[in-house]
This record gives sequence, structure tokens and C-alpha cells, in this order.
Amino acid sequence: MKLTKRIMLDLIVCLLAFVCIIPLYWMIRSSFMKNTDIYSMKPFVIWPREMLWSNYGLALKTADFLGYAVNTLVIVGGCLVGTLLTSSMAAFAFSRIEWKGRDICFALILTTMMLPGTVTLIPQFMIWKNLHMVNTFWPLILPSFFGGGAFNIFLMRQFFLGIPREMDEAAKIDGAGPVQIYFRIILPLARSVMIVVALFTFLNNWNDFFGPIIYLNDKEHFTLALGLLQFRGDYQSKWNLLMAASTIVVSPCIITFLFGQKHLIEGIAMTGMKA
Amino acid sequence: MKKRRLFNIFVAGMVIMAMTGCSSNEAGGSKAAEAKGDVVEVRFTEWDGGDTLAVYEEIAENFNKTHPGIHVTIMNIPDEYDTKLTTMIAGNDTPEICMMNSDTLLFPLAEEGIVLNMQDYIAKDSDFDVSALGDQFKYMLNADYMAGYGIGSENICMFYNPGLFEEYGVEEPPAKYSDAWDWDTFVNTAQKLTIDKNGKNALDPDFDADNIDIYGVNIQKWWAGIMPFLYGEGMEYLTEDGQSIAYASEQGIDVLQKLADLTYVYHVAPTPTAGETMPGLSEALATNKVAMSFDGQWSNAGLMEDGVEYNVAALPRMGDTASTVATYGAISLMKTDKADEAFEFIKYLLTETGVCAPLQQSGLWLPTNMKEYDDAYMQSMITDKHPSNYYDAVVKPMIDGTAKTPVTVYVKNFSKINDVITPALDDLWSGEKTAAEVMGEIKDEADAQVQGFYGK
Amino acid sequence: MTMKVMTVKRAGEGNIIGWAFAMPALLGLFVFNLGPMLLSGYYSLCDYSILGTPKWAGLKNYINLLNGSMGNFWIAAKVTALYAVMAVPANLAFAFMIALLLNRDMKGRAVFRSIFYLPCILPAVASSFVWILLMNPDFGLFNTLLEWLHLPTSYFFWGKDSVLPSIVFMGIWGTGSTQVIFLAGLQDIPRVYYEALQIDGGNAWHKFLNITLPMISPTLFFNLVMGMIGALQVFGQAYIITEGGPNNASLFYVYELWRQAFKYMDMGVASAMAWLLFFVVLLLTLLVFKTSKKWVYYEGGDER
Repeated sequence: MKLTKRIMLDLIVCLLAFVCIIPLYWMIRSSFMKNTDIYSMKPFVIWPREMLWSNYGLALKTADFLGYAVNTLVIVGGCLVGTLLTSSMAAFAFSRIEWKGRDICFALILTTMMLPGTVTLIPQFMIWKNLHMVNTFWPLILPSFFGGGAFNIFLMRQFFLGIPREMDEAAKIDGAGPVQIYFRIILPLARSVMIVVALFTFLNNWNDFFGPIIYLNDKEHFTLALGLLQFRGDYQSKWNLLMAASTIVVSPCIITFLFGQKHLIEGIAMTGMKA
Repeated sequence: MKKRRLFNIFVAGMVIMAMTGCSSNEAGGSKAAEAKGDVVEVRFTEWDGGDTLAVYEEIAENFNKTHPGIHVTIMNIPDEYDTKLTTMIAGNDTPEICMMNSDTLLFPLAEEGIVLNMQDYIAKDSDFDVSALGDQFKYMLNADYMAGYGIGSENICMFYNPGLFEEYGVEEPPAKYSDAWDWDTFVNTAQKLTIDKNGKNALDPDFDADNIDIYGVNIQKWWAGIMPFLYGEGMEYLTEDGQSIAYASEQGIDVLQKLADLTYVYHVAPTPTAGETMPGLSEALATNKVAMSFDGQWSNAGLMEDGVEYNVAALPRMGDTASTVATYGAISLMKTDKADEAFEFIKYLLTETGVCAPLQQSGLWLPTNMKEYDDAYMQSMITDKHPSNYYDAVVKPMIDGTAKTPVTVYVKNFSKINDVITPALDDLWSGEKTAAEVMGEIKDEADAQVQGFYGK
Repeated sequence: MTMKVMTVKRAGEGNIIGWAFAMPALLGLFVFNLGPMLLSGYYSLCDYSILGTPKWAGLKNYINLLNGSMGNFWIAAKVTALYAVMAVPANLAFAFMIALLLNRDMKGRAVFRSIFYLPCILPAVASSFVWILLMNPDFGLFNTLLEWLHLPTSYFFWGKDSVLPSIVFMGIWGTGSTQVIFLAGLQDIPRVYYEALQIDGGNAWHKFLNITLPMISPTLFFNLVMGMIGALQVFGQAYIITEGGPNNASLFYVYELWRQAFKYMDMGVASAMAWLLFFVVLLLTLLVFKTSKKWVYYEGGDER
């Protein structure tokens, strides 16, 4: 009885996972095909008869992907450091310390998510323009050193609130100050959420094209996501090349995730033993 | 312990990378400007990537070589073009030269004086070869204010698959607009070429309309796919008094209904859903999914590159005169303190013969430089890869006036009018309503947005 | 005596330390966010075409929007509300279910977690292209499957009634982030709690009800709030796939707002739309925060 239930659940997982794989499978499959073959569903082509590796050559040739990759790494790296540091600090302040103005500040930070970015875009651009930072990576990196976004602060706060108070109290009795509590108790115990935030920061910045479009002008500063869009710019859609380029762009992400995945579980397993 | 050290090194590395990455970029920019001394930096924004971008870059490079005091850089904006441009302008960072969407930004910017009157600069410049300019390519805010000039002209034409015509023994469409098919001939031909899965055509009483293998025709449902037929019935986008949309006129309703009937009465065209998700033209023709297709002439570039067997022809006519419509982007001079230098590049781009030749040879563009519409030049642009009817069906309409000026060049408030019409037409294309019903419902709403014409 | 001194000292210290830790975020808030937000609030009270200068117009934009004389405000509001009503519960339920399924001991758990996250990793350009192909009414995989199973086929993105459900359906596969957050929350539940209940003889359902749900409630709360905010600001699908069609059936609020701002160049109206949405989202969030006292349990918390 218990076994059949188990197998049933496993089957459901497999089925749902299958649907999740389709887009990736389709992308990779199409990246090896002729444009004309992508659309032929009857008969349904599971895998291209001949693998057109040349698509990758062509895709790589159309843009300076290496340069774009370096730019993307700089932005993603900067954002990772900034976000992990400052959003956890803010979350710490909003969850473990009592101070005047805390709740109103937290509420204000939350409200920044509630107004569509469309209408704050131009004033924000003007700020960066006045700082002479348009067409540099600063507008894309610096905000993460100033809190890293309400989403991350809110998320971390929720997890910090779940850490039992006794931990702080015990540390306090041992003479630990707030800085020690933050570094020695909260951060290690919140490793799972830190990894989650790191993951989101990495992927969001990797795939973001709107920020780079607005703030970067020169092709030398472009990111991978912009490189992908340049494909679409032309009149005829070379979907097979777009798919090849997408595969190139996305593969570091998938690899990172596969590796990070192990740490995600480890980290979580460790904090799971906390109480 | 070891792990932590590794992590620290990683963090430090990232910080350094971010710092140097950013500062070097800034430094790089200013250093470049310093080194060039008195060179004026001019930015030209455009939305095309790929081949077009490469050609623009080549043009800029050639220009920079011959104009030592000016340095033009091409700024590619691959998405959210209007958003970025508006933001830059509002942020006081206006690029010096811009490609413009005439249905959105161009005229509002000209009204604010942010897009300069190119006419003033042309008049000032005795070297400017005005014979290169054609009136149909000028974006006139009013009689004296030229807000932009067309670049990369294109028009709508018919593409067809000669193999299918031969296979089913049907006469191929005429190349010249003077010989264009009338609508009944066209519909009849399309019926003969629409084949169901049993091999029966649309004229056969046993034809299975639910299982069509080859469609006779695929049409365009945006304004450029509708206007050629409306011109044929003697109408413009707006009624003559400039007060009302012509789609809602008797002729307009007739045109729209005839186009919708291709799908729902004659079963020769795919349903809108099928049409919208049709593979690109190249694929559709190469895989025998469609016999004829009304499409933009720019598609020639992809078809030629893919080596598809195809040809082009004149669009059929609904009324008495066969027509088509041109489309192009505007290039505009922006109000900056470098406008004089920027104008030099515009002059080069618009009057120098053959600067865009690679794009014309590839089949993507037609000239907007009138000097290039001479026989010798055009023949040198038409390669042996071009379809045999290219000159008659595509180039000639641009010269003899068969290809009309795009409506976005002169209809005020176009994008708001269009955003009323387009969603409503979805009900026509899906077969839920007739053209008369649809237009009856939205005529007042659309007319409320009508504001007449530019250039008058 | 000593006790009293200590708390007083702690309270003062808390203020300084609290502000110090929150300082980067607060600087970001005041420098990069509040200014632009307030400015947009001012714009919403102006005739402002982006290209010109704002002219004070009082409540005109708001009145025009609310009385329906301005564009497709009410259509967009209705479409978005309908979408949110469908998407928020669907996404939450789906993500929670996946997280629960993946939180069991099963072979290849790591691989499956990666797989369920995949749709989030793919660039929007690529994944939307794939979805368009899959949902193609004539030759897409989904209709082929439905036909094969002798089920009615659908027009998906191209049908007035099917476009919103299609976008919701597409959306649930993109809930990888929500799943990961749920998973992190689930993993943070100490095992000993379950073991204790086991000793008391509780079954799986009891465990779920008495341990999992209360312990996951802060995470659930977070995902609910973020899901609501996200759903009401949905934009991408309309921008990339449907352009609001067919016949405005997927004309999402923020898409219409974006059109007002950057297609019609009417930043005044766009800002007014943004602030109307802001107040709706704020109200809903406050509502959830208020009710959260009743159902969210913080182990280390002293409030909310």
C-alpha cells in the first residue's frame, strides 16, 4: 500500500518533470536543425537526422559572445557580492533588532515593489545620468550594494524570523555583540536562504535584458542577454541560430545550477539540524 | 577553514573584477575621447542587428575615414527601442541621429522641436544634392518641416511557389502591376492551389476544409497588407475630408470582408491563428505549405540566402487599379549641439550612391536615394540570386508610383487609431463577425482618435 | 537595578545598530527609489508627454481613467484581475505541490530539482518561442496530443477565452523560484518535530497539518504576497507573445500602462495608472499582512 503510493507519487514527478524538459529539449533540438525543419511536426521529428553543428559556428560569429560573457560575469559577480551582503544586513535589522522606525522603513522598502517600474524608469535614468554613470556597469551593479532589492530583503527576513530567539540570547550571554550574532549565528543558520538568494541574483542578472538595454550604449558593454536579442533584430527570423545562441548562453547557467544544486541541498540539510 | 578561504578569495576576486570592469570602461571612454582631440562623437541609433548592423558599421567606418573631424558610432538598440530612446531624450542624453518609428515617436518629437527640421540644414548646405531626395520618402510635419527621411525602403508584393503552379497546371501570376489579376481570377487560382489531405482542391465538392495540406494564399493582416486593396478601390487610410477611418467606409468594409472570405468562404487562406503561427515565409514556400503569399519584399533576403525556389509577382487588385504600399523607417536629425556634424553623416547616408548596396543586393532593401533608381544602378543591384520578376514586381512600383507612401508617414495619431482597429479586427479574422459588424462597432471610437494629416 | 540599566542601554544601542545594519538598504531606498516614486506621483497629477514639461492638471488623469474615457483602463483592469485570480492560487498550489513532492526521499532528487527549475533558466526569447510552437493550434504538440486522446482541441494564445488560461498554464511551469523558496522553507523544519509526532502516533496528514503547515507559513506568506504583486504586474507574456490580443483579451494592466507611457508618450496617464495599481496592491498586501497574524507562525518571531 505504502509502496504503491510511493511509486504513484514518483510517477507524477516524472510526468511533470517531462513537461519541464520539453522547452529545453526543443531548444537544443532546434539548434541543430535547418530552419525549415523546425516547424515540421508531421512526422514529429524527435531528433534532427543530421546535426548542424555549423549553426553554432554561425551563431558565435554574429556577435562577440566572449566579450559579452565577460561583461555579464562582471555584472553578475558584482551583484552577487552586493546583494548577499547588504540584503542580509537589512534583513537582520528588520528581523532580529528592535529599533525606532523599523516597521515604517520595512514597509517603505516593500512599497518599492508595488509601483510598476515603467513610471520610475526615467527619473532613475536621470539620477544615473547625473552621476555620469550611464554606459557603465554601475547602474546595474550599484543598487545591489544598496539593499539588493526589496524581494531579497523580504525573503531573508522571513527566514531570519524563523531562527529561534534562544540562539541570540545564548550568544548574548556569552558576550557576543550584534555583529558577531549576525556573522556567527544568523548567516550560518540561514545558509539555505543565502544560497537561494545567490541563485536568484545570478539568474536574474544573467537573463536580464531590460536594465542593460537602458543603461548600456556601446556594443563593447553588451551582455549575453542583449546578444540574444540582436539575433531577433533582423527581418528574417533565423530561429535555429537563435536557439543555438540561446543554448550557448544558457549552458553556463544550467551547469552552475547543477553544481550549486548539491550545495543547496547540503546547506539546507545542515540548517535542518539547527534546533 | 579551507572552504572559507576559498570563498573569501572568490568574493575578493569578484569585487576587484567588478571595480576594474567598471572603472576601466569609464576610463576607456574618456581616454578615447581625449586621444581624438577635436573629433566630434556622433551616435546613430538603430534597431536592426545582424547584417544590417554590419552594413551600418561599415558605412560609419567609411565615413569616419573621409571625415577626420567626426566620429560616428552605430548604437544598436536590440529591443524596447522607443523606451530607450524616450528615456535617453528625457534624461538629456539625446543621440545625435536616430532611426525613428514614424507611428510613435517621430512626429511628437518633431512637434517639440527635439527632431530638427532637416529642410533647414539642406537649404543651408549648398553641396547637398537634392536630386537624391524623393518627395514620397520625406516625413513632413507640415509643409515646411521635414522631420525625417526614409531609409531602407520596402514594399508588399506577392511571393509564389512556381513548383506548385506547375504541378497543378495553373498559370503563374503576372509580374507587372499593369497586368495584375483581378480579384476573381486570383480567388479562382487560389482555389485551384488549395489542396486537402486527399489531394482534392478547394473547387472540388468533396473538398475537406478541415484538413488542408497546401493553402492557396497567406495574407498580411496589418495595415500594409490591407492598404494595397483599399487603394485599388480608390480609398486612402482616412476618408478624403480627413475625419473618418476608411476601413469603415463601404469600400473599406468590402476589402476587409473579401480578405476574410478567403478563409471562411473559399477556404484558401489559413485561419488567423494558423496564419500567425505559420513558419516564416521561407519555410512555408520551401515546404509547400503555401502556394502564394502576400508579404514584405524584405523577405527576399531570407529566401535568397536559403536558396528557396520561388518568384515574386504583382499583388492582385480588388478595384480598378492595382497598387501596393511601401514601408520604411525614418532617419532623423536630433536637436543636440552636434547637429551640424550629425547632418554631415545624414548627408553622406542619403546622397552618396551605393552606400547601402550590400543590403540592396541581398534583397532586404530598396533605395530611397532617387539617384539609385536608374537602370544601370538597379541592374547592378539585382544579382542572379534574385527572382526573375524582381524588377517588374518589386523595383518598378517604387518608380512609377504604384507603391504608395506608408500611412504612418502622414496620418496623425496613427498608433492610437490602429490600436482601436487592430483588436477589433481579431473578431473578423476569427470568423465571429462580419466586417460590417466590426466596423459598425468601433467606427465612432476610432473616428474619435482621427486628427487628420501631417504635412498639410 | 542592573537588569533595568541593561535594557535601557540595549534599547539605545538597538537603535544605532538597527539603523547601521539597515543603512545600505535605506540609502538605496531614499536615493534610488523614493525620489523617482514621488516624482511619478507628481507626474500623475500633470499633463506630461515625456517629451515636454509637466503641466499641473490636478486629478484629471485619475478622473479620466476611472470614468472610462481614457483608453482601455477598465478592460485592462478586468483582464488583470481575472488573471491574478487564476494565476496566484494556481502558481502557489503547483509550486507547493512540487516542493512537497521533491522534499520526499526519492532517487535522483537533485536531478529533478534541477529539471523543475529549468523553465526559469531559459531566456524568455527562447522559451516563449517554444511555447508558441507547442501551443500552435494547427500543428502544435499540445493539440496533436489532445486530438490523439480524442479531447477537444484549443486555440490557446489565439482564442479569446483560452488566452488567459494558456498564459496561466505556461506560467505555472515558470514557478521554479517559488518552488525553491518553498523547498528551502520545508528543509528548515527540524526533523525532531516530525519524529516527536511520530512517537505520539501522528500519521502523515497530522504531520502536514500540525508541523509542515505552521512551520512553512512564513514562506507561504512570502510567496503569497510576492505572487500577488507579480500577478498584478504581469507584463512579459503580453509584450512578447500576445500583444494584448486577441481583441484585448490579454491586455494586461501594466502592458496598457507601458503603451500609454512609451507608445503614446503620455507619462501623466501612465503614472496615474501606476499609482492606482500601487494603492490596490498596497491595500491587498496590508490585508494579507493583517490576516497573517492569525495564520503565520514565526518560531523566532515576536510580532506579526
